[in-house]
Amino acid sequence: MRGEIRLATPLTREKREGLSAGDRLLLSGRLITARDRAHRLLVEALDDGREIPVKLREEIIYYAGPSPAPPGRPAGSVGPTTAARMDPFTPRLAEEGIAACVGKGPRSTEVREALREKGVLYLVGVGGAGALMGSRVRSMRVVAFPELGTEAVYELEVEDLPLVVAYDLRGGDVFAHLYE
Amino acid sequence: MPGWRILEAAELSAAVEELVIRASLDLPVDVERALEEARGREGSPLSRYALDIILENARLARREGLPICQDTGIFHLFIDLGEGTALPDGYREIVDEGLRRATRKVPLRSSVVDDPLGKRVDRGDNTPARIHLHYGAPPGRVRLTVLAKGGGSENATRLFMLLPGVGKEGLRDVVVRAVREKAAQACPPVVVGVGVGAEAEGALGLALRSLLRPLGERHPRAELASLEMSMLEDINSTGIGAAGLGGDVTALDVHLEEAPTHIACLPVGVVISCHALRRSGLLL
Repeated sequence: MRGEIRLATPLTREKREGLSAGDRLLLSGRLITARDRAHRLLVEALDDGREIPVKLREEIIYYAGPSPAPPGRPAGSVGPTTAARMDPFTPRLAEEGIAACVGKGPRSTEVREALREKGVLYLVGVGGAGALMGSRVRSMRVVAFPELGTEAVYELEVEDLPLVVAYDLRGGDVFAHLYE
Repeated sequence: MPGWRILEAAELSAAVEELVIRASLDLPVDVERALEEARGREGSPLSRYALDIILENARLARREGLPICQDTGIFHLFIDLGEGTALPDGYREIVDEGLRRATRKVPLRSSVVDDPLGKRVDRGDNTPARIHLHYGAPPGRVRLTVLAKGGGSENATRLFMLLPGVGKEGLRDVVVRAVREKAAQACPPVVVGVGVGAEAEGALGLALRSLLRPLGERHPRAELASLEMSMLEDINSTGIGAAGLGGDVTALDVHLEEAPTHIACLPVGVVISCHALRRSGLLL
């Protein structure tokens, strides 16, 4: 196992190609959250040819619904949610040129293939480590769908967010042992 | 009624508030110890790394007063009444008031929505608490236990209506299969609750309640204790590992509870908790 790799956003194609499944990252920079309902709204708008309220190209989509920030803190707990629930929408977002998505757990074969084809990384956090991951958030603000509450789209600035490369761009898959 | 103790509304709502906060921020000692033991015997570097993060997270949550997980869950409240005790009128609303105050105070994420098939409108305060009313506290006392259950592990719940003749092997097969299929998305290492017998609802209720038993404590019947141990071994041999990253520890424990059932039936409920098994209790 390689040592932890410090990386800053944007995750350019060149940075993405240098990573392998199983690599541990400390990621700093900008992420955009989206859960089930934000995904549905984004994909419906894209399919209808409407303008969407967030930029997707080169962005990192974090499947997370934060707990509210306590007074004096930038954020509450912000860990990853189950990625497989986003599977129906992910290939469409991959077409829009996202750089990576961040969640927890394995995904469908179709999504894995779609991500590889478009050069999109799939990164995972440790599910249930929301306090630790929230403590690495430096700022958090709603950028779209405020009516969705925790399911709104938040822009996060993070410092040293601990993540693992789950799917790399060459077909490497940290969950391969699950399908044996 | 002379001699009866009826809980005061203020006492009940304050107790619920305190228990919800404690469950959300302070991982129980037995769970933390089980995670430390898991870290000690885990052979895969990536799974060890995940366990380190899980343990650091628990300590940080306790120290900083942050929710252990942003999915602060659905709140179950188990009320065990002792002889000669009773709940005040409108106890459901009183319990929900405690939950509402805890949600605002921490603050907890609001994870409960109305209209599940339609608009799924956020209720804003995590109410209603799921109340389970039983007897069994010492005379004159009331035991309250809160269990916070996140959505990821809730989605791994299974109910099997087995043929009565399949016996222990049949039970073991379905439990291990349920964990193999779902554990990677339920934040492993998980705790597996198994309810055997009763009817469908009862089997799931037994499985849920078995999560209240301290980790490492075995069923009092030797035969069932050894079944728990052998299911735990089978589950850990699946190799799913912490966070699904591959490793030796997929479950921290397996708890089995049983109840009488119908001659035609063998219901089996499987309720899975993530590694953040959040519970708290007190005796009033």
